[in-house]
Amino acid sequence: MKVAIQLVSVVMAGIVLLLAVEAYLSVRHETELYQTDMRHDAHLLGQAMKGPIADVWHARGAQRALELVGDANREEHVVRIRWVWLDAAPGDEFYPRVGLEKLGSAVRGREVSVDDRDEEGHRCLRTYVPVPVDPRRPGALELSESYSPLEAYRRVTIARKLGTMGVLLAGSGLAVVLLGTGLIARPLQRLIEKVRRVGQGDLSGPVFLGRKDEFGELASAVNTMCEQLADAREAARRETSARIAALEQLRHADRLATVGRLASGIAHELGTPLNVVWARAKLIRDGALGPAETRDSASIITSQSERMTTTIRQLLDFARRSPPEMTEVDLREVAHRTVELLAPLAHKQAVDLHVDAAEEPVMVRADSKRIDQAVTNLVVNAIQAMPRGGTVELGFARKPAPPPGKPVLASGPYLAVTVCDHGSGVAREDVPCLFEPFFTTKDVGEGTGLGLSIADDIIHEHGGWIEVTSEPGVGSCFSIYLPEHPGGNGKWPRPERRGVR
Amino acid sequence: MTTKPSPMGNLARVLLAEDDEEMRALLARALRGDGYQVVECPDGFRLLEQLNALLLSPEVLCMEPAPFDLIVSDIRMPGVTGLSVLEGLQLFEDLPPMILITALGDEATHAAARRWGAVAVFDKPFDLDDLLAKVREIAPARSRS
Repeated sequence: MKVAIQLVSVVMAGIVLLLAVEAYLSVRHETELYQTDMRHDAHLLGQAMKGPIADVWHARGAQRALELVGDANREEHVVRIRWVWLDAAPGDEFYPRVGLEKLGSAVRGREVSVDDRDEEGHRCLRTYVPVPVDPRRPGALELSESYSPLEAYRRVTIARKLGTMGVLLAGSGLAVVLLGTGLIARPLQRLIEKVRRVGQGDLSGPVFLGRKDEFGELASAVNTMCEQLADAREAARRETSARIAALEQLRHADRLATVGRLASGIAHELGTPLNVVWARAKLIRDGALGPAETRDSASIITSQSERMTTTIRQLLDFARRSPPEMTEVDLREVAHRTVELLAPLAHKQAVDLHVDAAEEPVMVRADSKRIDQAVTNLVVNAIQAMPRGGTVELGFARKPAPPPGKPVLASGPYLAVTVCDHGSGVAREDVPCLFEPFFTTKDVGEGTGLGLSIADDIIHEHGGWIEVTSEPGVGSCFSIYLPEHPGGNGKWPRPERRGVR
Repeated sequence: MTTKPSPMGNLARVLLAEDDEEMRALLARALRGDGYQVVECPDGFRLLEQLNALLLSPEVLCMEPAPFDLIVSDIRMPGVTGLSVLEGLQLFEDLPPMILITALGDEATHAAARRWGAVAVFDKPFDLDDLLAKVREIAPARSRS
């Protein structure tokens, strides 16, 4: 509606201006005509009276002539006629009303018309017609006509023009408003509503204006646009659902593969001890064994059952973990705690556990218990990698940023605790499998094949990663990288562990 | 663990590869109880060592008959898997038959084992008596014959 009002206002202003100019010009023109008419009338009247007055003056004397002027005044009401001497002194009865200074031409015998004001202050025209009655004195007839009729005529004319203008304005305004509303505002309003709905995502309900002008074209363009948008949206939706379905399928396949790997791992881990239990139990049942061998078999059954129980428990732990509770953790303390915990096991295997001295705290954000478990698993793994004994070294390292492709949370820096052994090492092709559940290169019975996958899982949960460097026959280094605690001192420009690369 | 014919040359010889100590002991005990001479290997490497010595050493190449009548091997072992060994043996003729034991009783494993010529595949856990019956069928204990 605002556009229509603006349009109407502009048109109205134009009309008003036009009418005003026209009225002004016409009033001025008519005024000029009227004035010319008045001068002409005065001239005619003056010329008509001039002869008889002069004749009477010469024939019957000045007194009679002045009486004649007075008589003429009695007959004529519109024009007042007076006799004036153009050399009379101010205040004299025959002194011209306009004063002598404007009447130079009249003195020289020429007719003069002057605009003046009468006694009541109204504008009037005074015409002086010289009449030669006395060669010694310049005399003239003063004809005064009020402009009042002209003023009245002008007022009426202006009022009439204004009235016409008002009616015209009101009429055309009403017409323009009605037409503007119908032709512009309403279709625009509908288009605006439609576009607003489109903006809110509602592409339904095409707008039909039933017109063949630009608005109709705009409406049909908007409708076409909506159809195309709807098509594009539908296509995008289909594509998205297809992609989601494909992803879901992939995930499903991935889950199946994981379940398959887990199942085969479980089958392997439980199949062998179960077989031993079965066969030993059968031997005992069949009475095929002597007393000592029966006892041996029973104890083997016990240990194999324990082994299976451990596997199942670890599996359950693996599956039933709650979210980590993050606190500030000093990796030095973790290393020392782990070494303390595992000292008996290490001693049994003739393995020395050594922790590098670190003067500064190595602060990371982590769940202390989980990190303990991950580091413990790595150290146990290292101990088991050295069946003939040796030294497991724990140290610390720092990296300013994660290596590319690591799905980690923070951009860095990262601090690490490293665990290095001088054991058998891992073949290059086996390194990627190290963290798979139940992958193990150790003799069965030594490990469940879950330790490294649990450690890897814990570190992933913390937004970190485990790095492995290994050389068969030389040893392996596992580094647990975790995001540095924001309050950490950042003083970790230490070189990487000098362990086995 | 030797490849030379033992003094008990008349006994049928079985090469047994199994990484689980208890399982290996159990199998060895059962086979010996049934009258076989058993050579034990704790992993794939040892199994391969035994077979290499057997197949490549000139002094044993002329041996007749083959020093092992049967190989019984687990599939999943540290080092080399039983299946890899079986696959590698395809190059040689006149090999002892092989029985494979696996905990991964899936169809793919069985198919691979059959493709490489395993005479039988046992899924863990299995009945020891079934295995012994199969062993007797393939390599009759010579001491009894």
